[in-house]
Amino acid sequence: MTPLPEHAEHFLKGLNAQLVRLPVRERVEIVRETRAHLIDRQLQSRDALNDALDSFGPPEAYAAYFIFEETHAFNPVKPKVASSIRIVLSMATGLFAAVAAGLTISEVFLPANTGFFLSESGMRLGVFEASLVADDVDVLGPWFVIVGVFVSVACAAAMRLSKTERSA
Amino acid sequence: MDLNAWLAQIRKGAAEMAVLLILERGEQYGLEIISSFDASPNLGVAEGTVYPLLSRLSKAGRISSRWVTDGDTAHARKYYQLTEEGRATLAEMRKEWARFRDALDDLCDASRKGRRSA
Repeated sequence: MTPLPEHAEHFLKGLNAQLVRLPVRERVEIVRETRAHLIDRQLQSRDALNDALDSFGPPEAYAAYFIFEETHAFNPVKPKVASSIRIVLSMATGLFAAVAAGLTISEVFLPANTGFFLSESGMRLGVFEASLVADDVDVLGPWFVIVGVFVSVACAAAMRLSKTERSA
Repeated sequence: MDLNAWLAQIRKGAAEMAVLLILERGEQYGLEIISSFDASPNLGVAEGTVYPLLSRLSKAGRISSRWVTDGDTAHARKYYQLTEEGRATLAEMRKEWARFRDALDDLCDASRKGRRSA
């Protein structure tokens, strides 16, 4: 890697820090391209490098151009709205995971009362009095535990993935 | 009279078309694009605004890019080229620009004639 003077490296470090709101891949691209540009300017002359840095301004000001493009220009869903939707979806997934985990535990200790039942009057999922579901068909039977564990783990994984994307 | 704010608005709107026109000549990297702007100082596009503009055009799908290591340097450069969508956009921009320029020229001519006859 071609070395740059300390003040140019300081600018790139500051730029990288200021771009933290952007996706990692985009941030890396911007910093890499800015470095390539500064190296080209340095190859022209020391003054050309300093002129380029002057034109960019402070890292926060230069980063603001890119952040503005990201958050205003071509993002059909405004970030705040997108963030709210993500939070609601994440909460719904968490609730679903908790219910699935609760039913799974209940199936282990109360197998006769818990399950996905089918009767002539319809279907029901949950924990019921044994007499209420005595004539119903327990669709999943012992498989209810396996399905419950799978659903709980899948929901937890989806929540974790969503959290990782938000922090990236 | 301070025309800077008015000029800034005109230049801001024209910069996107200018970049597309520069890239119509062929694939170029950022510094080459900036050099083209340096040759047309009246366009008033500053060095610090070119890369964010390229980023916006890339996201809009009007240009694409690739990293290339040229023979004259040890470091890679990001080269930009027009996409098909970019070419189509530029063709539309050209038409609109001609209409806009003609309309403003007509107003200028009418104003000039009005002043002469007054």
